[in-house]
Amino acid sequence: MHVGVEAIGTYVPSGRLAISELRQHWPGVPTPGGVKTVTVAGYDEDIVTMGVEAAEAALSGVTVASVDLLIVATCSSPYTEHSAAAEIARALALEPTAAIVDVAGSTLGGVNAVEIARGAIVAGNATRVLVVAAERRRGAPGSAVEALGAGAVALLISSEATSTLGPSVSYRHGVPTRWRSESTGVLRNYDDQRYELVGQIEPALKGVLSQLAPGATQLAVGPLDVRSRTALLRSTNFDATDSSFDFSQTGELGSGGPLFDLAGVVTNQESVLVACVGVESGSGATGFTLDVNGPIRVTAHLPEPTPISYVEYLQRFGVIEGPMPPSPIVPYAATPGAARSDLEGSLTGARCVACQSFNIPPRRLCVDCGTSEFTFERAVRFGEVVTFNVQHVVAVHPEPAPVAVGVVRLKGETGSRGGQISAMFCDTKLDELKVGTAVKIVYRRLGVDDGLVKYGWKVRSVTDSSDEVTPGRLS
Amino acid sequence: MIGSGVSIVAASMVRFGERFESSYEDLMVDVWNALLADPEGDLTPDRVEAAWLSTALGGLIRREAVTGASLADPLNFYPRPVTRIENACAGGSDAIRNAAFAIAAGIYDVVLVLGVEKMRDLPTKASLIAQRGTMSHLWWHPRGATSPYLFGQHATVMMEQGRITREDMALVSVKNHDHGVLNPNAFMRKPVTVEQVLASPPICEPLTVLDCCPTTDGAAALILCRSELAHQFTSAPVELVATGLATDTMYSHTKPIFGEQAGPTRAALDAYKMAGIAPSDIDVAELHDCFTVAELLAYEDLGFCERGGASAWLRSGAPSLGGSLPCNPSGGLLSKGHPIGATGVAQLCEIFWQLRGEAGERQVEGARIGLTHNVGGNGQVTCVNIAQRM
Repeated sequence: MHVGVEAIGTYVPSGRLAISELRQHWPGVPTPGGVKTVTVAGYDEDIVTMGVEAAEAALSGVTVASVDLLIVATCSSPYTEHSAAAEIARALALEPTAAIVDVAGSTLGGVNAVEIARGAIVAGNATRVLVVAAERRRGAPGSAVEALGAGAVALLISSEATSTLGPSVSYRHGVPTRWRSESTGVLRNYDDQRYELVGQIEPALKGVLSQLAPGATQLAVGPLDVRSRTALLRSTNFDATDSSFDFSQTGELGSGGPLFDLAGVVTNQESVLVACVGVESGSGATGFTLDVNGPIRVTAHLPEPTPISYVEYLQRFGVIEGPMPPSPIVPYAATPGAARSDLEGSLTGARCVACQSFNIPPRRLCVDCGTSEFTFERAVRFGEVVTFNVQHVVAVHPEPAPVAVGVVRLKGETGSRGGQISAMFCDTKLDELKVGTAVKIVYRRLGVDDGLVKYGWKVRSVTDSSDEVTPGRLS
Repeated sequence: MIGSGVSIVAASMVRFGERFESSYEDLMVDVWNALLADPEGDLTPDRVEAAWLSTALGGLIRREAVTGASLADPLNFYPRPVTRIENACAGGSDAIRNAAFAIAAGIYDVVLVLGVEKMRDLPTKASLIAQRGTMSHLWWHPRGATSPYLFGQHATVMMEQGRITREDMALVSVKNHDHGVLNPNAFMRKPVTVEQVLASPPICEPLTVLDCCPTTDGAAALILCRSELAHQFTSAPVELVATGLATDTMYSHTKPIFGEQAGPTRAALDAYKMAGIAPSDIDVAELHDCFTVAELLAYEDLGFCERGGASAWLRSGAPSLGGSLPCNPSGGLLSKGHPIGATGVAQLCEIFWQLRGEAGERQVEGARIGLTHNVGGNGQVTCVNIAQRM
């Protein structure tokens, strides 16, 4: 069955980090050859949002309900577990019955996704497939691979296309010279460019090209950098390749690289046979041919560049934290509020001069008689349980359930509404707790919000004679 | 009578429950459309001059600061006035109360009262049970109390005093679930047994899951009008004859006593006085049974039985369908559900249908006077409304 590429959309974000700035910060560290800037995703961009931009470009004028398979290739999904393809499918309004596939873990993913798409159509499992390859990665600071590009490319593949996709071929070769693990988080490299290019990449590329159908005049390849790409084209006799995609402005684009290059090669081409090959050191290479017969619609989204400083670059990746956002929790966390914090923090109450009711926490108007003249005293440390419940849900994190909460009448205290406190229980055998149980009032942590520890008073059952402590007097 | 007379001429509610398929706005439009679809009268959207919206979690969950507009927008109600009432779980009844006052003051002839809540988009443990926002009073927020504690603290004392037993509380759940089975708009439409209530997972001992109302999505709405105009809209209007609202101390530790509540009692006394009736005149009541013990407290606070008599009154069958004063024929909050802002409105919807003889299998025969009892917090605010068949 005939399968080809109908349309391609590309998107790169507007942010640009100048390699020249990187050189100032890390003098003596090699930078990607021939690359002037790398594209930097915004704070609000990731492979999902960029993938949607590229996909919308590829789907321009197309009935989205006709897409029955979406394949997303990336090494930089926002999720280690959860489908990025599902997020993209939602934004594109794909039918719920459209299959979604995530291809992750290798920069060969973009090229492999094209083969999965072709295979699904040939097998009759799909009629129109959208392939998205997108990256937003970062290398180790101060290393030759620190600056990597960000962007997304989308290919619309079906049997309706005028172009023809050939079956993919692979060639496994070599050892990894670039890798990224969960523990490092950033791309690391074996810092020997010749070992990587000549020892790993070039043999893999040649291994694939020797298996592809002959006659390709143009080579689309995801380059390590611009200079390496030129060298690879020369060593494989494709140095007449004419791609309009400018990697000197974007830097390396991971699993999207060869497909971006493919978009650059087929733009404005009526008839050409292209070999498109992805290469990854230590994995080898995978490639396919695309026989172009009539123009393929290519929509490249290239926003006006915005210079990004190295500091902002690091902020965007969360390496350094910028100004912290205001937390809505903090005003609660400041309970009981700045105005009362010393009084409540020291368990100080207000004794009503008129009726002797012990108002705790202190109030402006006596809770029992409504007058407003008080003297301040620290509360006794003993009391009796008035009522309580054992809760199996805890509102103060990170304490485990079950926990008791209740009301305690302070020993010897006066007042009808005064003389009592509300508290959580700690260090108490819950099955022995009763109305009337004697308790000691103790200072504990009352939870943490946004890292801010709240301290305050809890109660526990009286255990031994060391509990016979009276609070220091105020005067 | 409130002013020169305020009547209820239309009522609607959506099926309460886990309404994952409907948005907050969808629920509002559903009850609004249902009001306008009433084939009986000539209620058209333009006859409604103003609206009162009751929602509690609109602010806490949705972080809404402009909730008047959140009703005006989906209903295309703008530029007409919309006032949001937020008075904890009593907001629905307080919205009715304030809408009635606006009519009584002669400002409007016809108004909408709509209560709505979308609670199940949060995990249930984050919604009502553990929602610290609802407990954000300065002395509660860091002290670990959750909503069930607000009534659990009364249960502990009432059991300690020997006034109620654990089984009494379970029997409230059994009764209200039995009633809810008969209500097509109820959330939990399955009967439960005492044994099941006792054996269900503990939440806030002695309360178990089946002593607690479910976290619920829902909406309910009423059209109120000046009584003189009521027959333009329906042949069987119901008059809102009285309303009482009372507050109580904010904190548990400033309560002088547990096992009785001054606020609900005061709200009821004010309403009885305004209506010129006694508790014995009431034919049907919708009570705020957010937790089983709350209904037992309500029997005593409202004067349905004497103080200390809740257990005996419940076991006499008086508050069951067929009894002398059926309480929560709708299933109550325990079975019908408790979408906070909608609850007070839905309670009066039930009374409206009961007084018009439209309550189907759960109809209280010959009901002429009905009461709603709607409690916020553990009685920090309580609103009691009374309606009468005209």
